[in-house]
Amino acid sequence: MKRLHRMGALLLSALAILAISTSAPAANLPDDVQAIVKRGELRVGVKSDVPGFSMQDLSGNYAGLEVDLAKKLAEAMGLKADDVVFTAVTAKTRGQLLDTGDIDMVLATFTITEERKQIWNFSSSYYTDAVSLLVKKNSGISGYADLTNKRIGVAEGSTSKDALIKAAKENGVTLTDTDNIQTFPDYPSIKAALDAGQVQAFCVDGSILSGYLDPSTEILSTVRFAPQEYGVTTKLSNKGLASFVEEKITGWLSDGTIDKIISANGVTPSFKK
Amino acid sequence: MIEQILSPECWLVFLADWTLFLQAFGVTVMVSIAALALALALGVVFGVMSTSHYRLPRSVARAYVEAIQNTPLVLQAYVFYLALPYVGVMMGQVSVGIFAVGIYHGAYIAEVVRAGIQSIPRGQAEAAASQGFTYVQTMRWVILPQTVKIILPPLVNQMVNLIKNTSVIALIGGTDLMNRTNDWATSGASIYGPPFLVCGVLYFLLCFPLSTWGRRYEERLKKKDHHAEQELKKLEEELS
Repeated sequence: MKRLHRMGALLLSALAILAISTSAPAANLPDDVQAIVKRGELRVGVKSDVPGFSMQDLSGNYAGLEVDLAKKLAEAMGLKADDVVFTAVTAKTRGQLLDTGDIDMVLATFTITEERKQIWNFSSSYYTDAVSLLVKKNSGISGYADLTNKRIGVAEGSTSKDALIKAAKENGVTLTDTDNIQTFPDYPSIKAALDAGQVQAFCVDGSILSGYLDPSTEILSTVRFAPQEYGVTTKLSNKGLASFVEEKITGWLSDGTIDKIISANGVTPSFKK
Repeated sequence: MIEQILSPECWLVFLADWTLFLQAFGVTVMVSIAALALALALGVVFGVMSTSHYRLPRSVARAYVEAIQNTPLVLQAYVFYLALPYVGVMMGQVSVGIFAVGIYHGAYIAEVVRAGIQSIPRGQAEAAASQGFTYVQTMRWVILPQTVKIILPPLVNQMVNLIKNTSVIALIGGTDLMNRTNDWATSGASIYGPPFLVCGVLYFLLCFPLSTWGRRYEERLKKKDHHAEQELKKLEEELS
């Protein structure tokens, strides 16, 4: 009887240990991550107009590499993939939405820069891309030299503008903010302006451009510059969330999970490190 | 936002690029003035047309006002910028700003002018006609001067709205104040507090004097009227 009792105690403690070890991830999660788990939904800012990365279809669903990554992050927190609430962001709105706390993280072709790291947390880069130009096939533009008297459309708040001016300068061509660059609030308006002939080139990261490629346009293979690294962005004060994301991303980078997601979405990087 | 506005470092980074904002402000002022001139011209012409005795000018004015008032300005700007190039009319953003905003507010001002003219008693036009005034002379010397103080408040309202609405060209890549602020605030160091505050202040500086002037001018006209009335009364008393 006594022995049975002891065995029962042993069994109980073994069960307790088991219980602790299975619930351990949740208990070890930083406070800001736990707050998300408790809320039951992960709020993620994604683009709605970048095919392969994050594209919203007509029924409102999002699909793409960044959407898949966000769902995986939710699952790593112990939530379900369906618990991710997506918010469409632009280069202009994503930072401010993070700061106001409307969204927990941004996966929206958000380029990592030293300046931005002072304002938000960035994870390691899950994708590297180069900036390029989309032009009309009959435009006669084949390189930097043809750009001097042209107007180039870029998105507000993107890093492409400065990168283009710098890359052109390195190639001996002077482009100015006021004469050559026009900034638009989103990518579709740049494409519309390109089609109408109001701008002669559309400048943004190559992967984004590939979504706007059509029979009348081409991406210049001669103009590729400024490799851009995309990272998962969180609010600067959410340090716990940032380190959680960083741990997951680096893990998935080394075990090939991210490579798989990239090829599943058909967005082979235009730039290899 | 608030932290950035309170941070001197943010202001220093922002002020280092002040020439960009000055230039953009210049674009906004230029588009505003030109669009205002166009809107006033269109407004007076179409406003007078819509009070005409003839059917044709009346219908033309009606069609213009209804087409413009019942479609969004942003759409009209897109038509100018993105659709007209397909029929061979290529317009830069500054011209789009002037024409789209000028034509848009021209329609509203036409309605303001029409209401002003119709508020003047018919007898005045009949009296002018009996004195041998032509239609244009009646309008120029009798009717329009009297409408000024009636239409001034809604007119100034339209002018202030026009200035603010020039920011529509920010959507089509025009380098006006709104576009420059949006772009600057979201690139580089992502400092958005100071630029948005300054942008707001600059628009305010442009609009506030105009609305104040409008109010003062209206008061002065009313005082003058009151004065004239008193004089007339005195004269009548002396005569009787």
